[in-house]
Amino acid sequence: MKKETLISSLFIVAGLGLAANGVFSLTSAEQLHHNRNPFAIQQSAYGKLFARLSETTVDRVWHLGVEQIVPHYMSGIEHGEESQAEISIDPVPGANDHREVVARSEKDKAAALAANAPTGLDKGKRWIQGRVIAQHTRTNPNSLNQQHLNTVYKDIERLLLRSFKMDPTHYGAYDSYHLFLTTYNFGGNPAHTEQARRIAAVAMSAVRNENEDPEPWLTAAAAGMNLYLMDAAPYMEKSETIPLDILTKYRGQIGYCLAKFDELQARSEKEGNWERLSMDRQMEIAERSRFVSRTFKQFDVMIARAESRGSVEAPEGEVAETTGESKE
Amino acid sequence: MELYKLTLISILNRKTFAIFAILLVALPFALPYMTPWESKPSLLEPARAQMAWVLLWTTAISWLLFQGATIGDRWSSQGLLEYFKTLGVSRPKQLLQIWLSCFTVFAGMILITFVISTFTAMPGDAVEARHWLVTNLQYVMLFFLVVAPLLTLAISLGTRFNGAAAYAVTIGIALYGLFGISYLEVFLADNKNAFLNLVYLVSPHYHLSDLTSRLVFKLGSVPWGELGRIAGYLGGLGLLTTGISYQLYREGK
Repeated sequence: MKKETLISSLFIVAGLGLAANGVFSLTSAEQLHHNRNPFAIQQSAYGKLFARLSETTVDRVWHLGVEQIVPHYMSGIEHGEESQAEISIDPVPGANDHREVVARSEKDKAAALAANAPTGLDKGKRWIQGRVIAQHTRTNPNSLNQQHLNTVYKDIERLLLRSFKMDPTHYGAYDSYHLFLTTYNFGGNPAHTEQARRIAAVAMSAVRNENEDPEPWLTAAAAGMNLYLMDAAPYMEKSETIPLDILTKYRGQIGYCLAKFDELQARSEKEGNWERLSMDRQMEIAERSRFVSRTFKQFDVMIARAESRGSVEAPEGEVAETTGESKE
Repeated sequence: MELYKLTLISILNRKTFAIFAILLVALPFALPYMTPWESKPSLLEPARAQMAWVLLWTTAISWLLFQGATIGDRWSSQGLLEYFKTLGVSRPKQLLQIWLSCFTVFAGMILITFVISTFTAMPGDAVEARHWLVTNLQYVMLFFLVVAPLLTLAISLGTRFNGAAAYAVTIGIALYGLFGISYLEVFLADNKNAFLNLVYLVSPHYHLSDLTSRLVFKLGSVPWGELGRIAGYLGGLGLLTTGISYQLYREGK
């Protein structure tokens, strides 16, 4: 055997020995498992970015697959909102259901037209938008069958889970996944309720070490509220009183989250981080904070009532309102 | 070292390395600003280190292995390796010189990543800073143990088959070792099939070299004993790959 061939054979044998030894050593130490988070994308800054970006994907699948209409971000028209059809170029006639022109006086129309006269750029952009709408407008007279719809629900759940893994502290990622799991019409079932509990726990623990950004603490507060509602549901269904320990436990948890939010929000303002957010984002966070705080105040009322009576009444009205609002 | 010089000049003349070098320098500084950092500026520095490493992996897989495969193919097809054989340059020396020429350029890229990741994202705390430096050094070592043998394989396969096939096989192995194994793990979670479990064990677990999460989440350096175990395993895989690569290497087609 030639010297070179011998050396390469020795490499192979030595490599096999080392690798085999490594595999056994790493397997026995449970170190061989893949961490399922290549390049630490999940929960990193880029994970946060992907969680936000995936909202658009979920939105697209939802509107095309479940609602079976052109997504609003493509058409530029929100639910229940009239289009700008009367003052813009109608890209595809009949592409939108909300396209009925609101009766106006001719004078108002002329003023609106003058104020919103489209520039060449606007016309060009609207032309492209029109093609995108045409690309996604449903022409099949039949809607999706149930099996196909179930596949779409499954796809949406997969996307929501992926988005949640990317950033469990993001309110949109967590709460939309929670709602999907707990709303039966959209694919929820009793097994999914357990998953909803798990994701609430994951979201809360992911927020635990957050000491800079206040917003995740609102996500934790929402997760706490969802856990409370799930724990209280059996009592409410039977019209029984909710045990005091459940109320005090969640008042403590949610109260801590809101206190941390206030503390970090004040610090964020002081350090100038808050100012970097757009006005829309600031208003969105402030509105969410107000909503959670308002709901949280009911715990004091319920506990006071429970302590004074020695038993607790189920806060059905409040719960119904909370659930309704959080679905929006 | 004539083959080394010839190959190095050829790579430098192609200039594609410059595109990757620019991206390696610019993107770690630019891309973190696309993240939602406004409310949490402390995200920026780990994101810089993370992007530097992600780009280095991307460059290794997309540029380095491609260079190895195409150069192996071209030199072998053009009879250049036969010519060097007549000059008395043996097969191991030929393989080493081609490998070294590709790695000379790539070493500069590793250095860029190491500098950006270590010195532009270093934590302020002294203990954390030491861990940060050590983690980056450990990462360079493990990265080398994965990428260097794969380059040898790409070159050897290139000399035997064509460049596209050599590249496809090598990146297939690299991507399987980095990402594919996690899918096999999911499949094996409730499957006791002996054959599939054996496949899992003999798969190249390149993902062990990915220390990005230790940087992003400031987990600290890998304990030395553990590092030795991982390095031993990856080094063993590297020796095996190098040995097989030599057997595959051919001077002419």
